[in-house]
Parts: sequence; structure tokens; C-alpha cells
Amino acid sequence: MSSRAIFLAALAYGLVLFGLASMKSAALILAIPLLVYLMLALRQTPDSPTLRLERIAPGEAAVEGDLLPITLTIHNEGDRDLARLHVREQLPPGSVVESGQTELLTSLPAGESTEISYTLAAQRGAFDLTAVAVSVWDGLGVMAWSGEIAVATHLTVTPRYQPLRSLAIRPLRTKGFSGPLASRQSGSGSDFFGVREYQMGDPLRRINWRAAARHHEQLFTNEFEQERIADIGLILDMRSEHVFRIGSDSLLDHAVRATAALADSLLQDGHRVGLLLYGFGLDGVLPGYGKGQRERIMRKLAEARPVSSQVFRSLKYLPTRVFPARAQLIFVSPLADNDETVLFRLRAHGYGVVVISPNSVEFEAQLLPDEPLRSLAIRLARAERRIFLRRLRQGGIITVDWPVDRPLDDLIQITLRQTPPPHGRIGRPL
Amino acid sequence: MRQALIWRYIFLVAAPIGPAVGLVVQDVWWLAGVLLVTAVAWGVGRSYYQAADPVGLTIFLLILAYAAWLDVPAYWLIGGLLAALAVWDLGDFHARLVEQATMENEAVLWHAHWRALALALLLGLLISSMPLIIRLELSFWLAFGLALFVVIALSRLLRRT
Repeated sequence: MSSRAIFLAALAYGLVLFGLASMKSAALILAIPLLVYLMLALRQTPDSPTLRLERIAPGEAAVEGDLLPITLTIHNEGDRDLARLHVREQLPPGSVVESGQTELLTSLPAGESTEISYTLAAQRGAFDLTAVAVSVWDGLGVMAWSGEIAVATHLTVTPRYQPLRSLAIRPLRTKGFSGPLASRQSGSGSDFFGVREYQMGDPLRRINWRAAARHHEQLFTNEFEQERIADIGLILDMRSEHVFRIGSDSLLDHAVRATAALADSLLQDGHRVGLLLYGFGLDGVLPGYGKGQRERIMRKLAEARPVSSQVFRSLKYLPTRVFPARAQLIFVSPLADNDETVLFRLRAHGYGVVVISPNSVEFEAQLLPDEPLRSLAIRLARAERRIFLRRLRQGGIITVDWPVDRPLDDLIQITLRQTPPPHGRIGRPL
Repeated sequence: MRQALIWRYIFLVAAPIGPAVGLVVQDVWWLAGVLLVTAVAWGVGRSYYQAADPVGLTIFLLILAYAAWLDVPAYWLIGGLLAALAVWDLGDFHARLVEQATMENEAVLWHAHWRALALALLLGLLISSMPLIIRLELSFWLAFGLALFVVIALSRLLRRT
């Protein structure tokens, strides 16, 4: 029952009461048109409409920032004309409608159809458009049927990222399949690895003639370094305590994009890549190869949200045995002071660890008010962070300090190029 | 949308005429003046506040009820009441169309509403005119019983829907 019906009924009742109390028939007569109006509206009270709704969305997967044209078609499959039909899409919170309208008021004769078209600006996440709110009114607009009609559409918006060049990581152990990484083992490859004494069956073109010329009656064979793939574990830190947000820009969004770019680049190089989301329980994607794995990781990253948990506040519960032994771990996190212990523990377990740390100091500095002590505070925070990262480096952890306004690709390439290959240096420095 | 607005103003102008004439005939000039001022205020207020419609109709009805108390014959009042009802109805219809970002078949919507409103006004006029033509002497308790029946029946109907 609508507020209009209640209002009219109240007026009519008031007139009837007044007429009876004053014993004036004219007042009673005045109530009649109101009652007639109400009765007509009541007579036309609409039942639940027989509508069929179809939503056409551009596939299930989209990339952050894409424009998603969505069309909702409404068919009146009943045998009654709908004098006044109001249809409204129920979008998930935070959805941005770029163009078009998400609701429509129309009249829809029986057997006919109409449609609503709009364009959504895709924001990272997994969304369910589940139902459409429908109201059907009588001709006078007093009585209505209102309800929801289920039309399920699932949309996954994966992060948009700048692709990275091939990463020259140096894992402690490689796998048996050929790939882009130098394995520190001789075999078939393209990079020179060393020289050994000639053995029967070695191809002549691999004989090192210069070395042979310097030795009497001895031949030597060039060896090449095998190129292999590796097991790589990506760990994304989603703890809300370390996620800074400025307006719609969040440090986690940058971390997610970085993780997506890393996963894409590593999977393209043929590595076996897994993903662990750390923050609220343990969620992730088991290690795997190829495009299917890329899709699984992107979908998981689409759902990454900052989470708050007392249990997972520190990295204490970061599982150290999820990834294969001596795998290369890439930890994407703004980092907190007490994180180093766990990172050193990972190194002690024999994992190679690379930390890609979106620079929270630079990011947060934008928020600070312009006060006399601002620059001093920023300098202190920067120094503290530099010392912290240096401690990690000294413990054999490769760290990439990433101010998020700079391209990640260059920073990673420079850092990895400057880092010497690991020689089993494990644990915290003395 | 424009048609609804035009008709609304036509009804707003028409609403106070009948009752005002009735009041003048009864020599209650001041109340006729109040009625006219109310109509003007309703028209002006609606441009600024959407709530002016229910408030306007309520005040209008109160004045008509007071006129009935002053023994102004019902035939002067019914026309005003029907016009005021139409003003309120069209104001709401217009507001709904205005607040709607996307609309289709505007002409069809208007015709469907106009037909329903015209039917309500005609039936209202017809049925409320009947007691003016066919006069029955009812005792208070019979009238009370009838009124009670109407109130209860309508309440149950409204609650059921």
C-alpha cells in the first residue's frame, strides 16, 4: 500500500468522521469522490507481472578501466498491459555508470518488450548483478506491486597492469624443463658456462681450440649453461593495517597490479607460478603453468581486498611449506617493521626471496598537511625505511623499493641486474 | 509531461470557483477569500516544494468541510473537491515523470493516467451527485452504521492489498 493510498484514506475517514460528528450530510458527500478514487485504484491493483528479463553483458571477464556495455531487455509475457512499469537495475555498491541509465519508467503492452542500456566503468573486483527491482502501478499510480526479479550476471574485472619485460631472477633451484633462467648447470644452452676435458662423442664444433693450443695432446670442450624454468610463489600482502588509501587510490591496488604484471611475465616465460593472498586466512592459487593459470591468478587478484584480522596482523602465520622447496618467492607488500623475522625465516627454509615493496612513505606523504615539521617527518620515515630495506638486503633478500608513481619494470630490471647470484647465503646477518 | 502541468493549472484555477461562489452566496466572504488565497499559495508553493500538493489538498478539504459546517450546499463544493483531487493527482504524476531520468512511451503513460483520472472524476461526480438528487432520510445510527461499514471495508481492503 502506497503513502498516497494512506493519505487519501485518512482524508476520507476524516471527512466521514466530521460528517457524523457534525451531522452534516454535505461533509459525508465530500468523502464520496475520495472513496471512489481509492476504490478505482484498489480495483486496478496490479498482480505480480509475468516478465522475462535478459541481461547481456560483454562476457564474464573484463579488465579494470574497461567500459562494459550492458543491456537489460524486459519482455512482458503476460496477457495484461502494464500501464506504468518502473524497472531499476540493482548495481553493486561503488559501481560507476559511465553513460546511459539504469532505470526506466514506461508502459509495456502485453507481448511487447523494451530495454535499458548503460555502460559501466569497470573497477577491479568480482561482481554479481543478481536482481532487477520492478514496480508495476495501477493507472492512477496509487497501488503498486513491487518486487525483485532474478537475473544473475557475474562479472569479474581483473587488474590492469603495465606488462613487465622478462625477469632475470636467480632462483636457488630450477626445474627440469627448459626455460629462460640460467640454471648454473652445464648442458645445452646459449651462454658460455665453462671448459672441461674433451670426452669421446663431444661435437667438434664445441672444442675450445684456443685451450687445446696451450696444452700438449689435450683437447677441451666448451660447456654451456642450461636454461630452465623455476617454481615461483607470489605472495600478496592484503593486511588492511598496511594499506593506505588516498581517495580512490589505494596502495593495495598498486600492489595487485604489480602482482598481476609479475604473474603475467613469469607465466609467459614458462615458469610454474602460484599465488598466495595473505590477510584473512590463506587464499590463493596452487602453482601451475600457462594461460589457464594466468586466468586463475587474475580472477583471484580481482577479488583482492584489504582485510583486517587480529590473527593475521603479523606475517607469523605465513605458511612456509605451501610452495615447493627452494622455490623463488616474490613478496609484494608495503612491509611492516616486524615482517623481517618471517622473511628471514623463509630464507632460512631455503627459499629465494624477492620483496617488491610499494613505497608507503612516499605514498602517504601526499596526505600530510603542509606543516613546518612535515619535511623532517618525511626524511625520518624515509631513513627508517631505507635502514629496514638495507637490513633485508643484508639478509640475502632482494628488495625493490617502488614509489608507485614510477614504472615498476625499470626498477625491477635494475635491481635484478645489480643483484649478484645467490650462493646459498641464508638467514639473518650477524 | 507538459500536458499534465497544463491540466494541473487548469484544475487549480477551477478548484476554488464553485466553493467560493457557494460561500459568497452564503455570505461568508472571508472564507471565500481564504479559499482563493489557499489556491494561489498551493500553485506558488508547488513550484518550490513537492509537499505542497498533499498540504494544499488537506487545507482545501478542511476549508470545504468548514463550508459544509456553515451549511454551504454540497453541489457548490463537489466540483471544487474533484478539481482539487485532480490537482493533487496530476502534481504527483508530473513529479514522478520529472524525477525519472529515462522514460519511454510518455504519451502512452499520460493517456493511461488521464483515462484513469477522468474515470475517477466522472464516477466521483456521478456517485456524489446521487445523494443530492435522491434524498433519503437516515437516522443517525443508520448513517453511523453505514459509515462504519465503509470505513471497515476500505481498511480491510487496503490492508489486504
